[in-house]
Amino acid sequence: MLDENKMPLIQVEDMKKYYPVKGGIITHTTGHVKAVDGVSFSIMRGETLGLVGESGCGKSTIGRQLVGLETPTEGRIYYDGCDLAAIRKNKKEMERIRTKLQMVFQDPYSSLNPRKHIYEILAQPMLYHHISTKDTVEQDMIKILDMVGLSRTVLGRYPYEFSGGQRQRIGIAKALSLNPEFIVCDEPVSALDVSIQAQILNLLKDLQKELELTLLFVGHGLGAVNYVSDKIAVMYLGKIVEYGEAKEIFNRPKHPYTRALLEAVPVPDPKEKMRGRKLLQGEVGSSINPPEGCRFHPRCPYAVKQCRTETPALCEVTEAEIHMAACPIVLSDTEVASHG
Amino acid sequence: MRSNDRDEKYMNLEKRFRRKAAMSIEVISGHDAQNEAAKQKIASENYLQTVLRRFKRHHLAAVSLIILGVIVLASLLAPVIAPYDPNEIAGPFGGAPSKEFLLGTDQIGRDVLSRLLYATRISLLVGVLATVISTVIGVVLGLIAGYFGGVADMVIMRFTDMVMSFPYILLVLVVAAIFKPRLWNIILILGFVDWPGIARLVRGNVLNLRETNFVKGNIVAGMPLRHILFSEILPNTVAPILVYATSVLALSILDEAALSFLGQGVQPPEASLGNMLNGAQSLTVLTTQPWLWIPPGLLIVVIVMAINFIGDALRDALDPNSRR
Repeated sequence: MLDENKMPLIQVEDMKKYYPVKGGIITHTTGHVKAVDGVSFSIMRGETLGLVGESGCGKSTIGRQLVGLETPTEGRIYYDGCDLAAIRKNKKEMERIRTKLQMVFQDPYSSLNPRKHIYEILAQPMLYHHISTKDTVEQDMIKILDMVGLSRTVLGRYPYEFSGGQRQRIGIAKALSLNPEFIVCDEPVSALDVSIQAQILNLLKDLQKELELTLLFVGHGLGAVNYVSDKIAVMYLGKIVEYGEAKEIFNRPKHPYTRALLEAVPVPDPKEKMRGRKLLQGEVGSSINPPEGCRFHPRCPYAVKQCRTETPALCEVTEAEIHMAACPIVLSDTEVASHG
Repeated sequence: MRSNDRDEKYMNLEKRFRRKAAMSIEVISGHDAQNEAAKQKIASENYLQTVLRRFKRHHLAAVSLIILGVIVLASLLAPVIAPYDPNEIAGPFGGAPSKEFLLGTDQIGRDVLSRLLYATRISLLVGVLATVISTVIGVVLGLIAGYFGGVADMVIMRFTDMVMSFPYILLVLVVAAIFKPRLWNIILILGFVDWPGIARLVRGNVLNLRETNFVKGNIVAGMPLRHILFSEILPNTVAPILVYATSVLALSILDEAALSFLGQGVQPPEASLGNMLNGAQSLTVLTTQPWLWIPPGLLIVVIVMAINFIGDALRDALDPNSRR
């Protein structure tokens, strides 16, 4: 349930991000990749929002807009009630919040400068932003390394000396070192071994609780996302198709796409193998020319005529919990809804 | 945990997931202890030591480095070890090598050995300074073009293409004819002609590095542009720049030689390896006085080859991603 005392830390309103496609003999823009096409959501302070979807659905793009690596084509992002675009114009204001929004990257092998040892990698931003002074920086770094489960001996080493999991811990430490309030975790575990994934997920979860961080957790595995998230947003071709409490989405998925994603989770039990599982057919539509109407309709097993023409909006589906879906069919079809 | 109201199959999934994770943690820590000793040895050496160790594995390059070192030392010590003043007429005209004049004398009676020592000095000076100038120009333009992209990239790269497509011996000849072919002019001309290769190399590298997570991470961390460019990106392109610079060095030494051979380079009486070869333009010298052109010719070949071998070995030794 929505806690009245909590304010949204991050609020996104109708965010769109189009990338121009160049072509032709004389180079000109022939179209746009609509990576994110009208997305709105908010993240409460101290909450984790999980963002799931297939590759190329625009989930990482949203993350990049939030930390300011790119600016959205349209729409607004509010951080703690202030418009980020307006803050960017004001240098002083920007200084103040710059360190509050941080990011943990997907590939831990390229997220650390191979030429620097860990001491430099961690200390330079802290010293630049006056978060720490020359005398205290080593103590501060040791404290943060301790939080992510690394010893002080890593400071003198180079990135290549570490495994993927250790590098990801250092990446998390780097993000934490600037005292952020909000961290975008862009598929932080998908480049790691399964065994290490659990460690990193637990670490993120613990840190989030301990430091009261607000997280956007981007991932394509529903299992991992569900484990760390309070709320989940499911994306398909640049739009959010379902949004709600994590356990709601997991236990009572309403949108056919979410259901398909859940069905695709492999079950490590040979007896259960493939029993009654429907795997999704076809391919993700083009994000340059997305399908008319509901973007999922060419692959949807329940699609009707209406789906081809009308773009469904996100609507509340249950009274008790926060749960929204952008699909009129499942909403009206009680039989299918109860099946889940 | 929210597992109490979750499907049984997901509970199963998670249980297995956790058990597996716990098991592999043990495996990893045991493995670590074993490797620690071996790792420690490599970890304890710094980057320079590693580069040196890997460089030594290339025997040809190591030998080249020694030879080049001897040549550089000899040319630096020219005033001390040269038996005669290089511009003084000290013996017979075109005298063959003898005890008194180890490499003989040239057509006007100057000692060839002394001139060779001073000539090496001039040629290396021209080569090194021209390389430094072209590297600085190339790096700056490459950084700007690669990092900022857009119009800056377009303008710089088209200009680079233009300079590259010019028949540059001709360009150098014209420029040398307009400005008097003095030593500093030669250095500047060669420096301003050799940069396009480096600019392209740096631009390509910067384009790659700009998209890496560690650069993005530092942008997110709010680090200033100068930090991003000079502390994050540039150190990662130093290795290829250094390797490329060795070939530019070899090239500019050759270019100086060619230019001086054509009479548009370093002007006599000052000796350079190129203008010492000038005498080889005459058939009589070629056939009857080999001591006039074999030593400088050989020296050019040795210097250029040594520099190229060293460049090859550096390419290997400077690779930051492996440390074996």
